[in-house]
Amino acid sequence: MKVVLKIVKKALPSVSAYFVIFFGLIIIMSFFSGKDQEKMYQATELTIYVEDKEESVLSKALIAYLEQENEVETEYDEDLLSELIFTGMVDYVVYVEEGFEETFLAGEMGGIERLSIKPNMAFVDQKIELFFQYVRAELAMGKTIEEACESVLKNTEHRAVTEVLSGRDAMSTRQGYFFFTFLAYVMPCILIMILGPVMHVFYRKDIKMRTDCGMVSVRKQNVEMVKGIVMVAILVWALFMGLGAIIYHRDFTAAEYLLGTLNSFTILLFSIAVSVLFGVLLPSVDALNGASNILGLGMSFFSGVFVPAELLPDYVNIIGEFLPAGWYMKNVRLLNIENSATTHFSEFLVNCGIITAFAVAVFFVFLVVVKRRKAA
Amino acid sequence: MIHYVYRLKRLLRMRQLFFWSILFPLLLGTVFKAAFSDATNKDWGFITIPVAVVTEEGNPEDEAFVTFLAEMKNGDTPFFTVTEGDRETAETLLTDGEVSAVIVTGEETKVLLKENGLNSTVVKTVVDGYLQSKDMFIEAAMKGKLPEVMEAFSAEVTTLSAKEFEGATTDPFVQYFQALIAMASLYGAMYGLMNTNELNQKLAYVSARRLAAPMRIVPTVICDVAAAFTIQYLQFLINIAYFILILKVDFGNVNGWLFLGGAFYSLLGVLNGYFIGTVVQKSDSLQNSIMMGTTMFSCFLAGLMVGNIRMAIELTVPVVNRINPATLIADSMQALCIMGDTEKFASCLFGVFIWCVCLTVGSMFVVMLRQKRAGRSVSKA
Repeated sequence: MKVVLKIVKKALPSVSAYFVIFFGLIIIMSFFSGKDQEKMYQATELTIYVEDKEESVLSKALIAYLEQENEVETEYDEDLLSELIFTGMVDYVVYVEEGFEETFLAGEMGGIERLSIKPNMAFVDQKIELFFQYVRAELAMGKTIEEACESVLKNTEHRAVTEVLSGRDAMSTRQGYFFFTFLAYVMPCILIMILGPVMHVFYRKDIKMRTDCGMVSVRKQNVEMVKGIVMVAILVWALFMGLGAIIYHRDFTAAEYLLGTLNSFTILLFSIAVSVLFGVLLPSVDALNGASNILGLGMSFFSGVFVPAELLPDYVNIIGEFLPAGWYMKNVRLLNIENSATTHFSEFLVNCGIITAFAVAVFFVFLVVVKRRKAA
Repeated sequence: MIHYVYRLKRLLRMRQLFFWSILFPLLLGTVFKAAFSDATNKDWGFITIPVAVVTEEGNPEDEAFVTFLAEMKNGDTPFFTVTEGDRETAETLLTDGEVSAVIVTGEETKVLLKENGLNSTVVKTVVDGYLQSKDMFIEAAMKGKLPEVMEAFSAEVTTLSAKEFEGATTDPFVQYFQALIAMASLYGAMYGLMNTNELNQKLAYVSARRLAAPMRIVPTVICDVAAAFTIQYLQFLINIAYFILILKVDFGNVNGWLFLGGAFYSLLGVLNGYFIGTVVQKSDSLQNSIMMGTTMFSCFLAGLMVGNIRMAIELTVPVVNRINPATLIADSMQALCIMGDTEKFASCLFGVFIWCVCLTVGSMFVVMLRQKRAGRSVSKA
């Protein structure tokens, strides 16, 4: 065990660099993704930009009408706006031309331009056209434009009663959700970089031969090594969980956080198994670095860690079923829906079991590799 | 020249560097392509929404409502597919995910949703619109103005006209590939690191032989940088060619300026390696960790893992985007190829150039400082 700790200690500066950078990554990811996701997937509030060159009663009423349910912005510079449209952070743009109210009152077409690169924003077109139909109707009742606009805005406050089915209430956008999400990327990466070199040293041919000649039995060597590895892994995991609990404690109930911890423990088991396997299989620390990035990034993209699973093609989601991170993410999604992890506890446990089975399978591969190497 | 050629051969023989600078970005690019091939369509595409309407049999108002929903179209595609039924059946359909919403008509119109989301918003907006129109007609009828209102409502006057987006592509997932190019370019630091380490007696035996060669250190370093830059620039060309020609990623309007930009990106990567190599001399594993970690962090801020993060940063702390090397690279590509904004491209490239200058000056300063210290300790001894 001491040797493991010594090797880890030697690698501590680089490991600390990884830890700080990855933890920073998780915090920033959760901070920005939490906000972004809220706009993207709750979608009850669209981001609409209105460039009002006229500032007439009608155009102001249109802005007030859109503001009823959406976030309306009126100040962006042209270049930034183009980029916001391109990235989808502005859903819809309305350009009100000068003289629009006059054109409208004369019953002529046009006067307003719309821009959106999202085809699913077609309903906003209908919504805006409906607003103008209301104003026309109010004018037909003999009201002035001011009265018509006021009346329409009052009328549009009447909404249908809405119920969201129990247990499926608003998809939460807790930042803590992203803490657990990105752990699926960070945990294997960091453990491969910490434990991989340890295994690499232990199973280097010359060192292995030398330790086998020593007084300590192979069994004891293995027990000590396992103790050291488990201790280091648990320390890293506990550090993540502890810091996570401090930063995101408001986002979860105690039960939810415990379930998230349990889920992350299973991905920890998988990460340990992969780390020891890679440590034995790969020829150098550089190769370990490459493997950690390929496994971490590849598995995360295929399992919906960075991009929600709903947006991935079906065949990618099928691939995700064969990856532990895919099952891990199923549990994280259950955690995201309020009370869902507790109400679907058996499903949650089954998913945990599958991830553990992945870890066990990889560990058996490791044992086979070690045995073959010994036989050779 | 011979030094340049040998250095080139030496760097090309390093398999792990070849992997990181060329194979890894290609692999990751392929994963991106697999993951994002249908994402824009799934996220932004217009789809017909299945809804269930709970109606009372023979109620003309309900029939009118169902017809209204069924006839709503975006071009030729209907907004909704409507299933009529009793409340129990409708709720079962909703729970099973067969429909996105249940609309219950009657005295008080209700919308039952499975979860929040754009589909739910669309259904609710349309139902609200229907209710508000009904209110308006009732008010008009009460005031005896129904014919006028009907006429105003049925007037075929379109107020909105569509404006085209001026960007060269509308697929935002190209941002991931821009960040990937930034990552591949910054990985050029590995060549820079190897070059510095092979001139550092503490970290590589080969450095003693190289330093003993009858050639001054400055031309040696220049040859090393040129060799590393050549490979890194080739890497840039291979990556771009693979993404555009094989993976068919729509990068927008690719023109000659991008290849000039590529030269700056490659140089930045190599010089970054020189800087880390001269500042951190404790061990090569620490150098690698710092290089990999900072590169990943920089690329993360440029949108390698979360695509829109660059814009989120632009709206909150824009100064980060002005100084983060990976963002400067990704932004310059976006400005040139997608937005056609040559001014922004030039300013981003200038930012990359400033980084190159800072890293060079920084590396030289550290080397000179070390030499000065070494000189002092020799004179003391």
